Amino acid sequence: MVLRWRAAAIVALGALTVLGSGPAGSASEAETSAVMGPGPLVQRRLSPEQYRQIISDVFGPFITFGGRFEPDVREGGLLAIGSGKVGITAKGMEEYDGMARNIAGQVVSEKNRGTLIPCTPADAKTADNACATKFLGQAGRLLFRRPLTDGELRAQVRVANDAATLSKNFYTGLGVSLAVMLEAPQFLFHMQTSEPDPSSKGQYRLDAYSKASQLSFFLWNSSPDDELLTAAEKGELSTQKGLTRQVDRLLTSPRLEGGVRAFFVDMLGYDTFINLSKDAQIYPNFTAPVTRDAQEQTLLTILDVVLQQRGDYRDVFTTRRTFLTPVLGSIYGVKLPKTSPNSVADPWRAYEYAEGDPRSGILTHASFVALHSHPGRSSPTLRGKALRQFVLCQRVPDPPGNVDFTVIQDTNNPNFKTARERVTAHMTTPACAGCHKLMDPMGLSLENFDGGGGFRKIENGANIDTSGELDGKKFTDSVGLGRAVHDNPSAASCLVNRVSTYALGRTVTRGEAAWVSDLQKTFATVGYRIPDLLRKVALSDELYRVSAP
Amino acid sequence: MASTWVSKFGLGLTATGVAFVGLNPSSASAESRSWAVSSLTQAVYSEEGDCPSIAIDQDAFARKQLTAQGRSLKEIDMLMDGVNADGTKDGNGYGGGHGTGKVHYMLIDRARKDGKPVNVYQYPSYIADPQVPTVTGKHAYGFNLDGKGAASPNSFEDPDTHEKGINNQYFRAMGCLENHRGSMKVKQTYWNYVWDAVRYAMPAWIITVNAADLSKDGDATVTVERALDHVEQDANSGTRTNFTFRIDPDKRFQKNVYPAKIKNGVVETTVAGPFRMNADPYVITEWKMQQTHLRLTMKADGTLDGVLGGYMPWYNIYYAYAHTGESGEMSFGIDMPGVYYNLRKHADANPDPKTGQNRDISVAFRVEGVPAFVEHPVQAKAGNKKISQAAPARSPTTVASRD
Repeated sequence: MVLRWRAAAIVALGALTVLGSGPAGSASEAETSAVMGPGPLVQRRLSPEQYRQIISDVFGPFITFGGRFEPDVREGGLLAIGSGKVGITAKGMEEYDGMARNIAGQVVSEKNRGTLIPCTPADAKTADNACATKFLGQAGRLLFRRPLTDGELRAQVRVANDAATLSKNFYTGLGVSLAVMLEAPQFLFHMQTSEPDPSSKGQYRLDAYSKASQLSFFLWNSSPDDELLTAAEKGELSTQKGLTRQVDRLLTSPRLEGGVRAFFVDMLGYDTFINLSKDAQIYPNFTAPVTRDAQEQTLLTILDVVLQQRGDYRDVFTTRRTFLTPVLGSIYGVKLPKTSPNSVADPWRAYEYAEGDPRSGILTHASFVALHSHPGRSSPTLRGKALRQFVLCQRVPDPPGNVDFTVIQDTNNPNFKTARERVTAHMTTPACAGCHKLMDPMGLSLENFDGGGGFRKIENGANIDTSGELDGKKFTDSVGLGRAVHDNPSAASCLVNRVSTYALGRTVTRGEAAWVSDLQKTFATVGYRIPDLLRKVALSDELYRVSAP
Repeated sequence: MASTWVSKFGLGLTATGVAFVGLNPSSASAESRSWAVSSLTQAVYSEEGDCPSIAIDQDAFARKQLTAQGRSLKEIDMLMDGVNADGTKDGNGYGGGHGTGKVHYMLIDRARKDGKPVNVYQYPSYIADPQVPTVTGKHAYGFNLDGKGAASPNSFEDPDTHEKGINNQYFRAMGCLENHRGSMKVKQTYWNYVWDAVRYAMPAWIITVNAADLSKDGDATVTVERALDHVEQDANSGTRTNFTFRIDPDKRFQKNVYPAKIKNGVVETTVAGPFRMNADPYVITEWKMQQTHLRLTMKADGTLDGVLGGYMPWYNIYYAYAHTGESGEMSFGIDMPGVYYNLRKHADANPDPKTGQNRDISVAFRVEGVPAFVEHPVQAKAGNKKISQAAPARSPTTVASRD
């Protein structure tokens, strides 16, 4: 067994390591490394959602959290890849420490110990080796995503016993030891280990437990459950039959929704919602509940298309069916009465826009048009850029530092009443025109939606022209844009690229390019159905092959 | 965009609630527009020289009451400073605001019944009329409620239209209190505060205007009704626009329908009628008016702005102030017995057949609204489903029309 302790070392040093992102200025994202064979092991830091989900899975949803997580880093279009390039700062470690003590305190509390601790000490005022061993062995297996080694378990029990002796309280000791585990790199990072591949001499693969984690984090965004760990323990994941059984079990579990949700949160860049703010004078209806609901609306819409209806992924760009709350209804100008008492959040309700309505597809949701706008005005450029970046996996260069944005920013200029007029004027600068042509023609078709997500037909008294163009395909409005994206081959290939790199936790190597190419073909063959794509990826040898240590 | 909130489905006014006698609102109505009341404040027009004097500060108010109780200046100083007879301080001096000191109780129990101190807010007539000054100016907003025009005694002139015979004795009675002064530009403080405090905690008031074509002059109806839902706050602490409200199916008080006419974007009721609405107890629990008039401007930005007027039981207004007790009296600088006496003196309608004392007073309130969707109870049963119940079946609802 080969262990990679890089992440642990980083933790110990309290250092932050952020490796550089890909080359800037290229027209398409370079997401393939030059390596010809499989890629390396990756040690990914748990995302905040994964941390919360694991604790909830292991100890229960009633556990509360304090503290703040360190910011994630986006690389190759995904936080899932960036998570393999970060460590933990000293401040971050303090936060993890606080969270660990808080969680451990709740687990061993008088209220919860009867449920969460599988044994009772002979004397609660002193150490109990047997009970501590039982609890720490069971919890450690789920937290470390593999059985603790004898040495690890002995060390954890010793900590528990020493603390119990000092405090004269068995449960206090157990809590201290549990907190230590929750601060360990084996918990805070997906620690991958490799082993020689018996079927291919000289090749390496993830060991059974790492394979279980790879699968579980990919499909459930959480650690393996007991059944998956048991399958790993029994060697079932090394057989095609055993692996298929587990993959199908994970894919048919309700927890798949959490995994797919996490993927799209990452792919669509929803981590940036935390920085979203709107000018309250201009968009008074855009409140914190709108920010929260806007993300959820789009996620529910996607989940409805790809999971509930098992539909064509590309339909998310054209579907008129969505889910709304009364607060979102006020943004969209949709009549949607509450069904709950006052001060109680309303349940989400299915809603379908009429045929021909401009609200068609997720690009017309507030989660796109408001997120990719300025605080006080819309932005065809930001929207076009986001479409290229998040949906089509294409990189648009950042603007040079000496750009004069005066014309663009002045929404009160009587000579340039609409955004189209302003960006057209701006594009007369040759240095700007090149890149803006990549973004603005798509973004302008969304100009019926203001920076707060509301609908409009007029800007500063002038009619809004929503004609646009995407990669040579022209259209007249947002509905046409949705169709153009739906039919654009880059939309489907981008999804496949993102899914494959999300699953691997790294960019694909040159040697894995053929695998991705095959996935692209498969995706088309299965009608662009995401569950089928996930199954194909999860059953691929490439997901578990690694380079020699 | 001007009218995402315009709905052109046929109205069902006669299906719910109590239609105004003689109306057939559905016959001519093809367009409907609704607003949630975002602000309701007393319509005031304060101008230079319209009051002999204005309010006094809290300390002076307290001293005045203590003096009226026959206390010496030295005794009042000691009470106000919380100084005991032996010179020590008890820390219970009058702080100019809320408190538990002796002075507060002396203010609360300053009425005298059978020679004994009693709560002045419950027994306002058991203390001499403090003679709170009243408005002597000639301008006020409101309506010609008694139909007498310029011949109406004590009536005002509308400052904008110069219509004479405006009946608004509530303004006369209260308009010299400092926090009751203002204009259409600067809202009167007391009502602005009160409405702001309760609007998120009480069912919304909904105003709906129906007409064949709201953009043209012609016949219309105005409906004021109560929703089940509260208004929602926007990012400016204002009222969220385009929110959907379910109309309260309780038919007892909640629907007030008036015939009206639209002229140049202003809709004005043509037949006065009764008005009954439940509000929050902090305002007026049960809002009743007679001879109700409304004049509402449907503004280009989609909002509504206008005046609601009529005759209102003056004791209900008094109680709206008095139930806040000493806290309200001190916070708002309102002499409660003064309010009682002024409202009683200026009441101008509905005389008690036994005593001759008028029981109602003419009032005018400025009413503002933001665009809203309205769902009547029958409609509310259909349509959207919880996501957990959502089936792949299509089209639970369709979008409102757009301009």
